[in-house]
Amino acid sequence: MATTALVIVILVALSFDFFNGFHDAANSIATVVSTRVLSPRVAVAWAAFFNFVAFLVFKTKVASTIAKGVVKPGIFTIAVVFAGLIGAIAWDVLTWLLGLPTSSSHALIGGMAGAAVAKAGWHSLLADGFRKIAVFIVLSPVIGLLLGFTILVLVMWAFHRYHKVDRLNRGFRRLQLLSAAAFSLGHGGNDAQKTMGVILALLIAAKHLPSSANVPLWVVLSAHTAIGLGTAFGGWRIVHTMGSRITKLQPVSGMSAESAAAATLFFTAQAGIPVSTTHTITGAIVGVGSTQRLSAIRWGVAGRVVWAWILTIPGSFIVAWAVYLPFKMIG
Amino acid sequence: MRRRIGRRARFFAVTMLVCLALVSATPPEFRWVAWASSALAGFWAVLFAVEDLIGKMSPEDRVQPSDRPREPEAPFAPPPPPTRPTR
Repeated sequence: MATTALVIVILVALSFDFFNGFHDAANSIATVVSTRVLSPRVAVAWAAFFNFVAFLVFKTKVASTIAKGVVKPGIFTIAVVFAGLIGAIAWDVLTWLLGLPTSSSHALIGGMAGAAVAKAGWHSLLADGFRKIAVFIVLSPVIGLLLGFTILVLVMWAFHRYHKVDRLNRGFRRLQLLSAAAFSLGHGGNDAQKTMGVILALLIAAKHLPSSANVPLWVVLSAHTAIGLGTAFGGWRIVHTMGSRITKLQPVSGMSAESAAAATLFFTAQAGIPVSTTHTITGAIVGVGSTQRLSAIRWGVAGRVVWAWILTIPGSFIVAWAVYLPFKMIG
Repeated sequence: MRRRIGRRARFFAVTMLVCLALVSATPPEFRWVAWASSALAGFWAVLFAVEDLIGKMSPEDRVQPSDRPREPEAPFAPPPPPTRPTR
């Protein structure tokens, strides 16, 4: 019975990972498709592949933060993790249907916190872990913005006397292949690890692993497979529905934005800090856009990021808290 | 003509203030990130402020509201839900 419940919750966690990739697929392919560097089909395959192989690049520090740095040891049970995942998934689905901004990463953290508080009260949360996550909720898009702006200015300064524009664009289009790959690596490395962290917490709670355990390889591979498949399916759907609504970017701008976002995600993955990849790339795009003029920036998109900061963690917290209550009554 | 500090300088100044406000809340091992971000934002704020005060009017200050391009839709939206019609 306990094993069956464990397997079911692991499948739910992998479903969350799949939906995370599905939901964020546009992040990975929009810039490289808008500059016509890759066809939409190849862009989807390119992003999904690098989402998957990210496990070869990054250690599992983000997973450790999720499993051990947010909620006190011993609080997690199969029911708590299940309620947290349902809270995150329900919030993601609700905001998707209503067209509201959200962050899958923050929804997961809010969900885990809500379920833990429902079980054991506010003292079940680790203040230091939450502090780190809360600061980088704001800091990661700001870093993306500053790096995106700086990279593009430096590139423009370096090549401002180069007159062969077509040749320059061809060069940046090739570089954008690398920056898109780097961004997808960062996306996979950050987002897949959140699900790994959840599954690790589950396995520790179910006494299948000691509390000092690292993430098993099968968990790493299954999480990266799930997010890669989600990106592939989500990207495919976007290719067929978004069409020309994708923002027009010059190759140099796309390359700069993706490089900035990738650098931010690489740093946060190495530091073990879960961040929102959507917000990071949005910040980088804003930074790149502000090299032209502030009126070139889609402030509506930036405003949606701020609303996501405000709504996501409380929203998923409340849903997870409500989902856990029946388990608490059953005891 | 009286020169004034443009919006871009002020934008980066606000960004610098946001980063500075986060320094005290940031865990000690990551405070250097907040400091470095605020330094970079401050650098650009000062640079653009100097450019505005000694140089020509920036392009955005010449743009009239009616000239501004209509804001296009967000590029990074997730796939539309099943009930919405595809375009």
